Amino acid sequence: MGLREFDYGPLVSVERGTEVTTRERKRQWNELRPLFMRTRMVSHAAGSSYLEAENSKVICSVNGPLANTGGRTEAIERAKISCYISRTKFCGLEDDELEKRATTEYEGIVCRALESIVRVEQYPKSTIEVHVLVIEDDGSTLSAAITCACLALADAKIELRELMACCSVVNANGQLLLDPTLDEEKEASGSVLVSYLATSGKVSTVFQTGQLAYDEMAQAVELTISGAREIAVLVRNCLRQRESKDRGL
Amino acid sequence: MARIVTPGSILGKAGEVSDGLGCYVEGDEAFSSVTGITHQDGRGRLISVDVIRERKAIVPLVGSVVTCRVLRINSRFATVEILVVDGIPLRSVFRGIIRVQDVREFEVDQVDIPKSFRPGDIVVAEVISLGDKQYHSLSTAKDEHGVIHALCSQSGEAMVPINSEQMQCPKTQINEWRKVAKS
Repeated sequence: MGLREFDYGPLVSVERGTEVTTRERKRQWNELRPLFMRTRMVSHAAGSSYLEAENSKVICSVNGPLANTGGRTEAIERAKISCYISRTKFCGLEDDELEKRATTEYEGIVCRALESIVRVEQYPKSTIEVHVLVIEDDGSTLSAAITCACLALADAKIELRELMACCSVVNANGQLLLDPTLDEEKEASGSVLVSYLATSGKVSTVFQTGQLAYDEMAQAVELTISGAREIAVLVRNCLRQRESKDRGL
Repeated sequence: MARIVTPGSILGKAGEVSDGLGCYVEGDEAFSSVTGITHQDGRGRLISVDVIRERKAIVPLVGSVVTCRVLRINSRFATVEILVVDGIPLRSVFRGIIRVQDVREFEVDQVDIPKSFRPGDIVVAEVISLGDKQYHSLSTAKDEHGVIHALCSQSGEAMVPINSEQMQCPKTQINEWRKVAKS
């Protein structure tokens, strides 16, 4: 086979939207997408995890505890958590949408959610770095990022108070939808994200955008908690499996 | 019976579990804070949650015994980088300083830093305080702390300790001053 004159261009091209997602396959309004999660995906990180909910794919790696590099005055007696979110070029969002996504705000939300579970007083004078990479965005990536980050922290053997799972709900045309896809997020008038602590049953983060009536809000929070409970079971099982594999049990 | 626990797993009532490694007590219950297997003492009392040693997340704390490398010295202190804490390699290097008054326990005012440490030496020390923003404060006052590995300034050979204050090069027979760790 001789060399072709023009050997450029993509090796493989994938047409978007050809796969039928489950809501199209009549997923119930209160039904999660099938989830896949796994730890230790990045070999050079202290801990890492991968989470996939159909077309939403998120990878997270944790470095640390690292020594503080000085500079700004930081609290000596506790660890600082810094979070970075990045998206791939092919994540599925157009450029103008990428700009609209306030990444710094999202980083802050992930950071604050994680601060509620990490035992920061165990790691004085150090920094725990959490890097989240959104490989493909098909909705609910912020909640996926938080769940994934918790999984990666547990994989890095950072001391945590408890496990956390996160889930979101949107209000699209008066109907609440759990674990929305990107299209559902776009046509939604409001959304709620809740991160749920698996052992104590407390809620550590509530993040709401758009408009929601009072009773809708209450219903939405209840719905997210029920979703997060299901996810928490998967997170725990994933860690258990990894541990028994590591110990050859 | 050892069992696998994840962060937040309930280990038992607060009185049954000592607030040890990998667990914490909140209210009247004790919880695991890492993924690992439960570890019991002789009487079947749960004492800690064991993590695979190499994967432990660790930082230097007050009282930790650390292994470090001397980076630079001056007349008042030696600057070191902490590499290992309690036998577990760190995920990132922490900085520490050994002040002249913390080098040894006796004749503290006679200590000379260049006669105790040289850049490149491997030193075992104890963390005495978290220090300031940048450096942990370390001490080698105890007999078992001090230089454990040093190279001869002339030949580059690893030196052998001959007493608590001197090391000798096996090649050139030169004696050099160090604060030697008692083995």
